[in-house]
Amino acid sequence: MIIKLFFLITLLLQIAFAIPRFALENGTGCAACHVSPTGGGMRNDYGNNVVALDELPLKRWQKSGSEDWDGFITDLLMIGGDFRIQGLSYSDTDSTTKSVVFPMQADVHTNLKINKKASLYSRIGVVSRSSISMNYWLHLENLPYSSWMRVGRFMPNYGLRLADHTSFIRGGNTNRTKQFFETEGMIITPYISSPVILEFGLPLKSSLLWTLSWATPILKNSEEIGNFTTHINYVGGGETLSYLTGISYLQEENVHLIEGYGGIHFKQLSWTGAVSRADNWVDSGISLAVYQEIAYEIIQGLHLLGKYDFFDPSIDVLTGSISRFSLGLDIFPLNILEIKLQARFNQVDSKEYEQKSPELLLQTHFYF
Amino acid sequence: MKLLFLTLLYIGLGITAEKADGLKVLEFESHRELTKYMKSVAGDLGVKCQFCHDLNDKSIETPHKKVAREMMRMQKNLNESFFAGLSDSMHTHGEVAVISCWTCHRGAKHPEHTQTGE
Repeated sequence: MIIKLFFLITLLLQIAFAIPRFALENGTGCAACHVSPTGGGMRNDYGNNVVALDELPLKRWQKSGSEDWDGFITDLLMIGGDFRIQGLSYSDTDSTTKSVVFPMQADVHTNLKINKKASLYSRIGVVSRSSISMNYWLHLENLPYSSWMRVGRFMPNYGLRLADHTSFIRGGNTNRTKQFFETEGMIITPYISSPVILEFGLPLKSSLLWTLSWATPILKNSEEIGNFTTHINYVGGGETLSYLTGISYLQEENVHLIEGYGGIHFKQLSWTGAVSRADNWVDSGISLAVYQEIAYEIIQGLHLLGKYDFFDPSIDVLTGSISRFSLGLDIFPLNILEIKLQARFNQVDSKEYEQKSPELLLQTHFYF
Repeated sequence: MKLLFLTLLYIGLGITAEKADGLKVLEFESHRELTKYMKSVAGDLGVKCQFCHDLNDKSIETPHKKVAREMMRMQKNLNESFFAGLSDSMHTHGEVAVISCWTCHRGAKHPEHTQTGE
């Protein structure tokens, strides 16, 4: 238990996450709102000054946001930040209810626009009381055929980049039911550090983006190139109906991952889904993860969410899969604040495991 | 890889800054001023930015963007050729001294043409 709490308290997110359904709802790529050309993390001036200020928060407190804040502190330099604190209430193995509160993310971003074609980004994240992590890249854009390239230290552009790293298509449960399985999710866990990477992006059409990258391994420490990732993403639609789809492939030594995803948005309702397969991730078998999300925007700033996560470490073995059902609210009271409330219920295909009451989650996310 | 990063940084620093592209009617010194104006246009028409712009590539010409340019030219011409020449008495009486998108659109994509009682 002490070890578990230690991990909970010291583990902070080191991966730039995003909310793909926002891209889906707007019928645009993630880069429309984020500084990163593949999305996630620091928001750009449109993300700050239009979406976060006008389209996301509850209208009741919308005017408390500042029209002047777009992230730029000089003509060329932007700053931003992401800070998350999470509280959890869950039933422990001894059937007692435990509650924990822990810092989850503390990132400060800077982006220097060198000129129309080049920018330099860095993200400093607090990992624990005594260590920090750093992500950085140089981004060259407006290259031939509107292509771009990035080089630095950041995560490869793989799969549906959900904000929730506990989804099994990302890294899964880090400790909740781990006593039953060796691994409860795919490889993108908060434990891995960003590799040194060279990435190319080519918009095949304005709404169709192809990226490919070569990087040092993310599953082990090495300075040799050992990771290849490629990703195609399409997003389109109009005012009432929009859609997205994509496919990703990641290879590192004998580990192969492939993920397909899609989503449809109609009026206030959004569906997002993904299926991810990994070869040789758990022993030498085939692992499968599924993600389904239905979101309904009750009013601006208040979203009802239902999610289903599934993970089977080895599809050749009849037992041993895990499912998780989540129901919750995503609230955006202000242009700098997101509050997540969720009830989660794990269902393990094992006679040894029984979750009597749902796990309750409260997360506050400050961003600017 | 570090060498490549430094090389690209050097190349990036060496690339000459380009003048703001895509602005054919509007004249703004800063991107911030432009965004502020664009938000006011979106509000006057009751639309989101996607109504005129392809947010994946803002340089793409869309039919609505072309119409918007014509409307902005019309508004600019009227303000410069007529409203700027109004006598001081109009200004001192608090009358409208310039027109904006709101003057006709009133929060709607298409201005209401039907007269009252028609």
